[in-house]
Amino acid sequence: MAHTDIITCLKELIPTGTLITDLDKLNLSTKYGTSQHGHLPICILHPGNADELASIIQYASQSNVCLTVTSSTGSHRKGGITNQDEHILIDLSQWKKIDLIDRRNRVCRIEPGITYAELTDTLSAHGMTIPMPLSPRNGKSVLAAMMDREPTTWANKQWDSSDPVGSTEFFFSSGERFRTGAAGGPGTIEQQRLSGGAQKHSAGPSQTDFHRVVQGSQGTMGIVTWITLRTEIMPTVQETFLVGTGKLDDLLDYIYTVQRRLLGEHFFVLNRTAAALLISGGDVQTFEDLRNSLLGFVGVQNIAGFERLPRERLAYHKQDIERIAHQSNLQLEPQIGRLDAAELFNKATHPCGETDWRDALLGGCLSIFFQSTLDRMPALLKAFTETAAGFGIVESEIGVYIQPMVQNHVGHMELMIPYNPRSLEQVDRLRQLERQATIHLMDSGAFFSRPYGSAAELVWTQNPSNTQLVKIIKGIFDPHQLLQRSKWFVVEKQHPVLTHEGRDISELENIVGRQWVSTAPCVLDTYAYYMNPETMNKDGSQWLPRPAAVVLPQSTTEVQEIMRFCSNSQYMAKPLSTGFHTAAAASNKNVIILDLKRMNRIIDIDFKNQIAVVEPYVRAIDLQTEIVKHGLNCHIVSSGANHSLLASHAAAWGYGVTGTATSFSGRNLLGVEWVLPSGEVVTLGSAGAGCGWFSPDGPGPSMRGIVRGFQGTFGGLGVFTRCAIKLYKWDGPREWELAGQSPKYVLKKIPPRSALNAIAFPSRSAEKDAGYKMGEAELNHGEFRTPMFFAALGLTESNEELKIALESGIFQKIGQDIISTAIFAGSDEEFTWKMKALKEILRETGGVIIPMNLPMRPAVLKLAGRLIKNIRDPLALLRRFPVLQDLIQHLPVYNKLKLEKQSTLFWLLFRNANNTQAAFRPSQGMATMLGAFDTWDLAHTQAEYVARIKQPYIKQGLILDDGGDLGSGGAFENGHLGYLEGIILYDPGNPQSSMVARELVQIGVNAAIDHAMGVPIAAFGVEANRVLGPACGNYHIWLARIKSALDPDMASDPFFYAESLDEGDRS
Amino acid sequence: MSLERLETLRHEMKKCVRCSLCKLVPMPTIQQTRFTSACPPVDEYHFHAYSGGGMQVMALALLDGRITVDRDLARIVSACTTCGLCDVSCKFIMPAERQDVIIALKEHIMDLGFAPAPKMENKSTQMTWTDGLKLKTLPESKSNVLLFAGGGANYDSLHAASARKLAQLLQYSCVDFGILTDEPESGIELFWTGQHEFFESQARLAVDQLDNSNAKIIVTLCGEDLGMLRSKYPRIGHTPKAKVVHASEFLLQLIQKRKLHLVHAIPECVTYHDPCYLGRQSEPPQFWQGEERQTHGVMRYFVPPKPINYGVNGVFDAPRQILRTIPGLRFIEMYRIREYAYCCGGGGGVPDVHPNVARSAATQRVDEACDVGATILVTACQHCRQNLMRWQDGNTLPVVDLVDLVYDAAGLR
Repeated sequence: MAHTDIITCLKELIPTGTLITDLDKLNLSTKYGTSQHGHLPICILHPGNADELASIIQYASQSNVCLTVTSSTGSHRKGGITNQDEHILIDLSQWKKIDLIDRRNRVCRIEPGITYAELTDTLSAHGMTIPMPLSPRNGKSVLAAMMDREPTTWANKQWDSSDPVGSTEFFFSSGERFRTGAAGGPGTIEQQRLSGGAQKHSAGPSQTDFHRVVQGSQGTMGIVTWITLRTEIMPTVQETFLVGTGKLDDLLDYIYTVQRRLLGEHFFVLNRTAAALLISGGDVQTFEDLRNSLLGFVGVQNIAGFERLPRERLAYHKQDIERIAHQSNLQLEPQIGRLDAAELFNKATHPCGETDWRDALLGGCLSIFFQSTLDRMPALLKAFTETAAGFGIVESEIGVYIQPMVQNHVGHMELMIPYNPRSLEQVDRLRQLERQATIHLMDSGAFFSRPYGSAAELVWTQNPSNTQLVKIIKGIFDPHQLLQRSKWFVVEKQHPVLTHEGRDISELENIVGRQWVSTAPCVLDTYAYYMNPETMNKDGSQWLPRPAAVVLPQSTTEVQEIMRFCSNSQYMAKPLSTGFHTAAAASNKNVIILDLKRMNRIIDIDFKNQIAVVEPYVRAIDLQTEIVKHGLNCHIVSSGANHSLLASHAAAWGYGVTGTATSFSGRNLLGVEWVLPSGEVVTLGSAGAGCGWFSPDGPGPSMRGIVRGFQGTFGGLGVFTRCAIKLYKWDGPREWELAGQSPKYVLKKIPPRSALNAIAFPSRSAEKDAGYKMGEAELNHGEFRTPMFFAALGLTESNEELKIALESGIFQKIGQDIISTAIFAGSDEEFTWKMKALKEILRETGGVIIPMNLPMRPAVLKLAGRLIKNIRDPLALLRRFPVLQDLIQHLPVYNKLKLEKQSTLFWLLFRNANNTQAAFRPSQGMATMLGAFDTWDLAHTQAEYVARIKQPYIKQGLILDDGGDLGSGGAFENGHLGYLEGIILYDPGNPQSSMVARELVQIGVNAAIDHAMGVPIAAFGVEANRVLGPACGNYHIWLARIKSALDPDMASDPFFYAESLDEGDRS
Repeated sequence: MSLERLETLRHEMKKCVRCSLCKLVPMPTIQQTRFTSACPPVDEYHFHAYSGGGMQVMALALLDGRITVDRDLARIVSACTTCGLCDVSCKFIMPAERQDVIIALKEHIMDLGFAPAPKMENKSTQMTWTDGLKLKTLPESKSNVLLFAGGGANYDSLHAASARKLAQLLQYSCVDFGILTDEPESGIELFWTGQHEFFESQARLAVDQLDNSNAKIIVTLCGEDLGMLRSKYPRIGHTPKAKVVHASEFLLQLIQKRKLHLVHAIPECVTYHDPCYLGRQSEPPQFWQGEERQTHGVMRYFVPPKPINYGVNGVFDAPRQILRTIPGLRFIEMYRIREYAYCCGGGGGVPDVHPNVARSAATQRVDEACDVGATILVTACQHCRQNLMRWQDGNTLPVVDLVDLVYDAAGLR
């Protein structure tokens, strides 16, 4: 089609936008880096709104015209907008909306054209700020930086590589508009907000993390029109210091120790050249003087206090950091040489001007950046300097910027060499250096997660199976390759060959050995019986389909062979690890269960970088027992520490009672070894590139997004045979002595610097507020809402006692809005501050620490119930006079009882020894409603709804009368996120009761749609997705497309994931 | 009859939620990743069927007519040592009788003739462990204390030696005691392989003989005999009139009353293996009569409250107190102890039918003892001692009976 025709058509599609064909402007749009590639765009479009953008994309799709997108203005250093083919450039830099600014939930929404200055100015009026890359240029789009996974200087706030991105809206190349994360639905943004949501959480919708595929894709997977961003509170007070050292190695222990404890705020490292580049602003003399005044490296340590007890917070952070510095023979200095810490920090955390600071000195700057772990960086630096020396570049010319990321689980390293772009000789020399250095660095273990320059060409051969997977996904997201066509590679159309031979189960014996295969009915039936059978059975029955066989592989190779067998036979595979829930069941008699119990090795624990690599049957308790001795903990989900870590992180859910400190399983996944349904193995991220298990994302788009979303694939898309998970600091005891006997094990003494409390709030509103406040203060390691019934359950030893406790009425009066919390601190000062902050919060919200030394024996409860019958608030006195709470707690009476109760909290909130299982004592059946993941406010909306909707069934005696509100869960990531799942206790031995449980779960799904309450935790799999998908951007169709592409032979049981599409729906 | 017995336990089976806690010791007790397991057959075979939870599901499948008793089922169930640790682990979170279901399942399989036949013990060599001791025989002579040596004393040399030593310790402490001329077998092999009719007969016979001795106190050498007499016999309505104590309990009393002095130092580091039938499986049964009711919709409770055997009232302390009394001895605990002690693998008839399970359990247990730094592994059950020693290559770690150690410490060697 002629260009003029294209331009004519496009003009009609953008009535409120603009179209540019001016040659100078077209030329400007392609300027970048050390060279230019590709064609000029046919034109530049500025669509006026998202509808116009949709029209453009649809036109391009129909006309086979390639699209590129830009959001930033000014000179593009990394050159993401050029293209090999003819293309239209869509420029969204004029989309300047910032809205949905929400201080309570610390979130906002931005369009692509928003720059850092615009955003920080707007947010500061609300007392908020955001993490930012190191001194970005003025025209840099925040959205573009975030969608490129660009590191920020505030690693402590980055829980997951995709942060601070929350939800997104993007267009597929078909023109379909899609929202990810909590924004994905159900409901409109406004409806979600009415329910208490804030479009903050990034996962999903459902079983794919679409945003991870688009993020890092450099415009090849979708066109993003807005994102929500997690914001942070602005510091009230702050100080910045420099930590100087001659050698990079000498800084490492300091960094690891400070970062592990999440002390301080912003932190990064510059060598003297990079520091001088940043400060000098292009002035040569200033640059030289500054550089010469410094030692080799300087760490920039920012310390702050926020709204709550800010000075005290800053003081204890500073004291602890100084102590750590001293241990490494380092010092915190306000100035080193001519470098002033405050000036440097100010420069680093503000835009640098029109020209990037790297280019300011000589006009250009070679920049090579990659990821690794901190401890490997000295060696990588050496590799680079040696290569550079071969090109006549001396060490003093090389700038080094090191940025811890994702709470220091991975580091970003950038190597810079300023140059004069007008010198063709220099340009040519550096181009050669760049290529050679990239190769050398790759060989030395550098992971180019964000591939630019030579890496953009070279990375794709490092991990061929991952590259193949990316191509397949590209073929789904952009089947006609309109977006950045030919960038990185050309995608061929897949032509699946379906062959299903009739094969015999006995062939499996040749793979794993005879003794590891069973077709005995008695064995098979033990894999046909699980918790929550009503998830599959509509008739309330307990038995699930009997599988065809159970096979126990021991290695990835054996798993591959089994998958190949299934690919080529009438059978399907279904892997399980601990197999607690019906989600582990076979959906029909042609399914082979892969019991992964023999794959139970902890492969590696990297204590320094806080990463563990495990096989499927490593249970949380296994790993926690090892790592706690080294001051580390892992995220454990609420089913109790007997769960499989791999299942939780890669294949299932992810909520746990320490979520406020250890996040959510899906966000802690650092790498996966994945046997695809075809039997091929793909290892994602840095592990697949042979660099180590520290980064699951890239190169380019992250295939982690296909592994799981809010929920996992539950075995419906191959088998995960190994994974890496993030570990967290543990400030509690590294060992402890046990007393007591089953079922009451007791700590011999409560660990120092710890506080285990159950806190009762006077109302739901107060409880909600407290959740946010405790989160912002970063107080808790463990936090679990323990509504009335669970509080009574935890304090009694039998159902007989529980009956008495409930009938006494005490728990109903004091216990509906209880949060159980665990505080552990790394220093006395930290503990003092946390306790002071807690008390302040309790005063503000009317919270009362329930005295643990009260004898809650049945006889006492009966009597107490009679006494308080006419008292509305038995805790009123304690609420009014908080000092009484301390007094009672410290009374030397019933200390044994107190120790018992605190021990119970220790097992619950740290060891996860009595979690979900404890809920089975009353009636042996537990189901869950709603439980979507977004904000603490939304969590309570859901809990309230569930409480209401259960009443008729409670009245009929079909489910347990727990008062209705059994909303259980807590805040996550220091209050940034929250959830409550509405528990239903039922009798699985009673079909009617089971059917009610199922019905209620279904009601929850419908309610989630009707009232925009997010994707429920139990809503996954083919049936649920058919209901929810249409309400959430038709994600179920995308899941089906992924399933079709990756499992054309239906080797994996699809029931709890997605069906493949029919042939006609494959496009 | 045995199917009916299984049917009465249906509600127990249905309590299983497949959480797999039966494969783990109670989680608050876990100290070392290598030593967390609760179930020897699962450790060896890995299939869920072998676990306590698996047994519940298979029993339920049987009752629901989904499966029949066959060789596969029999073979799987016969791998269970009946140690009862799954029962303890499950009761940490809910009151469910796992052990009762497993025993009932074994009984049913045995009734239908599918249980693998246990190897007959080589009892051809009869030893007279009493030679030269001049012991009283009851009831011909009178004595308040009866020493119950256990059947193995007649054909196992180490068992016989321990019996002699116990007798000598009692003599040395001036205890007036006797033995039975023809001591009955406790019938433990019958019990834990599901031969319930024979077990019932044997129990009746044994209790008759014990009662006829007119002793007031029965002192058992072997831990499993204590478990039989104190727990399993009374369960089926055969309770000895005499008070039944284990040798460790009796010897401790003698030490505390200063009738027995442990004066000889033993400069070793020892650890103690809790035998299942001396420990968690020796709790006297708690009979209950009442009714089950529902409240608050679907919550079940019992009136009067049903007592639960958590496995904690076994003999745990006496052996430990003795060990701590021996001069020069350093006592260190293993990771899995008391009611959550890992089975040695010697019970349930398992060494005969599943020697691999017996071996792997014993090996794991010896590894655990070595891991804590012990140079001697002490136990108080002859079955445990035999199995823990049997599979060691080159006697890695000596395994001795508590009585042997007391004997040495008393200076009687």
